[in-house]
Amino acid sequence: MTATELYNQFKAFVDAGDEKGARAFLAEHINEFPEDIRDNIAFAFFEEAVQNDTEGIVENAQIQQEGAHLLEELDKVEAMLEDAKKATEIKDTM
Amino acid sequence: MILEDYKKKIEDAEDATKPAPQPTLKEVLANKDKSVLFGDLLKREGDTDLAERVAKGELKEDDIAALEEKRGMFGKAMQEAEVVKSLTTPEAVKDFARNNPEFEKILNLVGPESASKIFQKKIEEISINDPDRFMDLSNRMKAMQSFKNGQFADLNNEVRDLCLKRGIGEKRYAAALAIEDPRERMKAIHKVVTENWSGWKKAADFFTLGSWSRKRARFMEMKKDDIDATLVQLRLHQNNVGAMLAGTVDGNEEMRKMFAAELTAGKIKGEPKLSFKDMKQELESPENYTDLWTKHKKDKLKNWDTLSDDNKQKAVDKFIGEAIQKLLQKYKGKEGSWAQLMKIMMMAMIKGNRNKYN
Repeated sequence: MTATELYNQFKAFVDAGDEKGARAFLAEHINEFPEDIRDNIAFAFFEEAVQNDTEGIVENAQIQQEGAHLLEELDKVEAMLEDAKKATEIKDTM
Repeated sequence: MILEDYKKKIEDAEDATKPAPQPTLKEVLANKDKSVLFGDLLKREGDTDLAERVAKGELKEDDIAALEEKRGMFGKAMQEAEVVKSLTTPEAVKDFARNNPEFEKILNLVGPESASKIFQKKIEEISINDPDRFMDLSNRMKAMQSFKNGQFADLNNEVRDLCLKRGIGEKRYAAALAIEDPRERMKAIHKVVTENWSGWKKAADFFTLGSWSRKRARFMEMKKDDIDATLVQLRLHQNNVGAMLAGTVDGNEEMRKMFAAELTAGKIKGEPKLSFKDMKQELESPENYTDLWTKHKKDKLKNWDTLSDDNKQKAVDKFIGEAIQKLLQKYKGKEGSWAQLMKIMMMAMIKGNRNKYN
């Protein structure tokens, strides 16, 4: 197939709203595209795979770091409140 | 303690991937691929004339100082690209194919070795021509490396121990995850995550009220009943943060993605993604470009019939180049893999339609 024929076939999938078909078409015909186009298509699929596989990993770790930090800080507040409570109790007994 | 350990591990890992020294100007200009990229950087920075002189090898004496100034910027970009390239090995590429069937099909046709080389070249290109896209890929590749090296696993284990020690648990996550129907499961997970997230934000607001000394002074002035009420409130916040943390420990993929969505909601507002459906309106037909060419020839190439074949080809090259530049400009910053694929396919069509430009 020529590049124009490949494009028109791909466009037919898009016009029909067939996302799965469009993706499969690009993957199956990748070696029929000119080299620069082939490289760009392969790279776009690679970036998508990287995004799929890493989605949530960084955010999960961020929540864990911030959560552990937040708990440590809340513990300090708790200790301060307990100290203040003891101080009021001592004052009350005096 | 957990934070300090984690940060140290990340710093150690970063030390292990210290960049190579920057290339000299002579080395950049002597390397065909690098000098093309250097020209792209000059264009990006607005030095179009200088970029053209680099491309033609027609540098003036005064140019050297200007080039040397930009060499640092170029060298830094190349160093960062080298780090990401070093993570894009054939093995790493194969790993990414495991859960992505179309990419796996492509990899089988192109071959992992060849694909790795292609991607390394593309990584260098986008580090100069599309820095935002490069940063996103770079962050994700480094995150995956940390994940594989167990740095995230260590953090996960430590947070799990912390939850166990403090008796933190969140039964609602387990209940939500046990739902068989995928849509209902996602709805249930979303409900628990948003509720916990809301509690988390309140806890963060509570904690950030004033400095430590102001907090202490305020607490010391409080009456016993008020202190008790604040302690009740504080324990509620501790429970909310704990519940959120418990959900991240050994979380499955669906939960990780849900947390990511909550964490980034309202924080990151990039360009909207272009969806597959949007492409229907955006993809043009080859005939549109044939018509554009006919108009271009009529308006700007009135002497077309008298041009030599060589000059005709140059005029067609210029038309194609300008059409592609317009296309790239139109979709600059559009995110998502379909935005990339649409640009690529349109470029293929504009170039492939060449025999109609006559």
